[in-house]
Amino acid sequence: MFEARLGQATILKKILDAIKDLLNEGTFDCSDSGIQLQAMDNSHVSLVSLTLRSDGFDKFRCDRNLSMGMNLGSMAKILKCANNEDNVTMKAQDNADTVTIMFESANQEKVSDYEMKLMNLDQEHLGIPETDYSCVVRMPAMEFARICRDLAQFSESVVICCTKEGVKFSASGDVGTANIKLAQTGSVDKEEEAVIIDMQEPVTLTFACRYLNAFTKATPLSTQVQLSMCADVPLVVEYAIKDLGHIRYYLAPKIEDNET
Amino acid sequence: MVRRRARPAKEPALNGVVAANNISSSSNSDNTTLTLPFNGVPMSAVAANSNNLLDDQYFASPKRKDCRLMKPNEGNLSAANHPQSIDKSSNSIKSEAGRTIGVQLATRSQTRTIENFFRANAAKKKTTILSTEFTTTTASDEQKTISINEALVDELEEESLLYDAHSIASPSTSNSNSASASSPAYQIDDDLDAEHTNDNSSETGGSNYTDTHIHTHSQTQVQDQDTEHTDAAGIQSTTAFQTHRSALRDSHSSSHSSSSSSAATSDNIFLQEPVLTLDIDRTPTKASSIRINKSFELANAVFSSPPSVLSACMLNGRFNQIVTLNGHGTGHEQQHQQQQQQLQHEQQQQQPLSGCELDQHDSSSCDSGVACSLTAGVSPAVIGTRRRKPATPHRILCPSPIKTMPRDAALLMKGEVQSPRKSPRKLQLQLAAASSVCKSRRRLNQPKPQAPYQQPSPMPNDDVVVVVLDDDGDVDGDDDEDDVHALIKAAEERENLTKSKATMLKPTAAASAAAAKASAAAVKPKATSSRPGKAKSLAAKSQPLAATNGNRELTEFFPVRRSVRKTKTAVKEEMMRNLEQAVLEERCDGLQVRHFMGKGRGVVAMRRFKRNEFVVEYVGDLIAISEATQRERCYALDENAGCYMYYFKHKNQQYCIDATIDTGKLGRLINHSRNGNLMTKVVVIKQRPHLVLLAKDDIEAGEELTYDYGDRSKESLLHHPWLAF
Repeated sequence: MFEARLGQATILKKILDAIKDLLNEGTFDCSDSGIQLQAMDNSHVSLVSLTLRSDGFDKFRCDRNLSMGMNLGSMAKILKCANNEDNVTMKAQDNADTVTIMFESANQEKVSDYEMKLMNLDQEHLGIPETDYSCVVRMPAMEFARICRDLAQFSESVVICCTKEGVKFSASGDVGTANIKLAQTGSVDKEEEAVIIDMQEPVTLTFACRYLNAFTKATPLSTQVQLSMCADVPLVVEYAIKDLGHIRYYLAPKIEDNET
Repeated sequence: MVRRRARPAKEPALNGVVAANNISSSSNSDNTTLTLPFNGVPMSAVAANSNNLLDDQYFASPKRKDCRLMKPNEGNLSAANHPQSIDKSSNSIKSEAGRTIGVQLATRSQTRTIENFFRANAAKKKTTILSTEFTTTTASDEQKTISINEALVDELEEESLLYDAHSIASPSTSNSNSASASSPAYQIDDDLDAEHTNDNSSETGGSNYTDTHIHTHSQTQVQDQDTEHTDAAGIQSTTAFQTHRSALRDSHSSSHSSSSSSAATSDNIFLQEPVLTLDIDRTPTKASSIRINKSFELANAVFSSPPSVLSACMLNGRFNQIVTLNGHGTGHEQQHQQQQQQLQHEQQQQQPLSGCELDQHDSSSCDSGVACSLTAGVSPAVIGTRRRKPATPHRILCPSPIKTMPRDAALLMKGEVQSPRKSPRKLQLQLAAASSVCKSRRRLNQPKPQAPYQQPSPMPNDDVVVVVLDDDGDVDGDDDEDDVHALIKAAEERENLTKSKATMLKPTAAASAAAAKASAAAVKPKATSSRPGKAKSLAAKSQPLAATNGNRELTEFFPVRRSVRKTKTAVKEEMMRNLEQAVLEERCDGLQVRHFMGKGRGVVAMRRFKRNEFVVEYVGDLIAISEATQRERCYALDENAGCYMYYFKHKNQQYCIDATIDTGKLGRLINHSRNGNLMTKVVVIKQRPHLVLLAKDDIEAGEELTYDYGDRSKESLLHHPWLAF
């Protein structure tokens, strides 16, 4: 028996919105400690790792480990049926081939439940090693989304160059070149607007804009985004989900380095 | 397995001889061991052998290996792609379910239209509509079809009028027929009705009309088929009814499709063609008839899922085949004409039947009209009329319900492949050149004028049947290909072939040839464009983000986690591989020969051997049992020869490994112990069985290696008392 209840459907909605563009389907691995999802996109260039801790749920019960393969598009559709303030409960029996998603309005006046068929997905699971990243940048998620969107107009790929002074995003294409530099904010008034750079050694990496833009679909989940970079290692874009966990995107760097 | 010097008692033939030998040689003291073992030894040998067999089985499945390990990527991709494709197809089905007749019985049966219950009235209404429609159709025919005679048109009009009159006069005929129809027929009607509901949205009145009309048409076909015609009106009516139902469905489908003009035309073609095919079935040539059946199924499939592009393509191929079949025959047409004449007579004689007959005529006329309409741009009104016309008896013929889209597609493919191209006598290509408008669905061929049925004299052969494309030989072995890609390929092949054939066909008229080319061309772009387009979209969906080009994959950085556990079979295979390798390299490390008091030489382990680990091979000459007996006789003469004959059975065959000759290999020197620490196993390498000694338990360094020779016979014990230990 698996049962997880969240106070606000909006969080789950946002999560689904954040991953459904990258992934067609994914396996939610439910265990005592929470729910995890790890899946690569079809081209195997990026990877989504979602972690929802059990203590972040209003109620969480998972008697046996359970893997629920879902079509994320369908899941998103179902979640669209929920109001933002609804309670969401996901339920599944052990070895069930369906999952039930129930929405309850705040005053219990309306209860709707949806049953979705599960899929048996044969997906690879990647072992992600612990890595000491040479650069970790924390910046406002909105800002990052904006940068990715803007640079995508110029080129398919964006070069992220992180130095002591700041982080520079640049793209060059037929139109011309674009550079966006962010300096570390000196005085931190608002934490969500801070740009914080933790650098061991400077790094320059090239990434595909499209994927970055897909990652920024998670922007509503968090005010801050954390970019972790290390030479010749996939970029990690992490959005924290408050009180619940985080969603991490891994993106393999482009092959170096035709464009400056 | 027994290592001994005695011969096995197994072979009866040998027994006698051996026994004789025994007796003769019994005087020789030493020979007893050889001769006597028959009784005791064989048993143990057998037991040992059985053990061997088990072992063999255990190891026997070395061949399936890791093929699976490599797959996950593919699996993912396919998994990712498939659901989409399936989803798409299902969606398309759903979305167009309203239009599609053939979809699934379940869906159809769930909804009934009011029209079912009030059909008679509807029929009345329709008749009037029909007349007008006919005129329109005829007009269109004239415009588009060169070959059609105006006389035919006139006749058609007349027939339609007759039909109208008849229907008005006896509106109840259709009802009565339905009543008389068997229960199955009713079911079908229900289905049809459901379809009707769908149709209603587009054209309420029209659908009803189509029902009646189709019904009549089917009847005509039936009658044509039955040259005897004569009396059995009841039978005819029933058959007609069945056909009628099918026709109704078809008509519905056609009407649905008609909503989009191009689509409608194609549907009509389908429907008509099947009718033609029925005729063909009746024809004496059997091969063609069989093929036709298949084609029917295909046709059904098509009907069921007209909307999907794939199906449409398939349909195209199918239709072509059907048409070719039709092309069969001028002879048939002649028959038809005769039949028609008969029908006319019958009409005169019997009013109720005549009504049906008239209907048939009308339907046939309609068919011709439909075919014409298939040609390019058609005025909406014309389209509507055409839709109604197609009556497909094939429905009845092919009872198998279509269950799923992909399956249908597969069926279609098969049908295409199988359908032989019957040499079409006269192929007329009356295709509308302009039909480019048609969606993906547009079918290649337009069946031509059916008018000949009605009019005995008028039709020149040219008019008879138009066969545009032949698919027959083109696609070979496509049957197996189910997936989209395969379909696409097939479709492309077909197109090419069709093109070539179309050009090759001898059109009676130059105009027809031109039309054919145009049609082929039109078809081609359609198929190519639609298919690839879909494929592209699929691909695009499956790989939503930037192409991987220039980007590395994550799997380069992060290892794919795989379970370290191996399946039992994998473990076995690995072991087998190790054994083979060990045997091939004649491994014998960690062993030492030592002298033991009272035993002579023996082998001692110099290192630890783990359980089931390969220790050494028992090397010797692999000989057949007959050879072994001979050799034993020789060895028996030599007192110093030890017992190095290892008998074993593998795959029901007795073998012996003779290691009597000292080769320096260690396997032969290992001593006997009933509680040995080794066990033997047969390993087949390059089709040759090898005896391999494995550690039965963990063996510590310094232990002597022993195994059980397995010889328990009294004689052996007598002469080799150490065998007892």
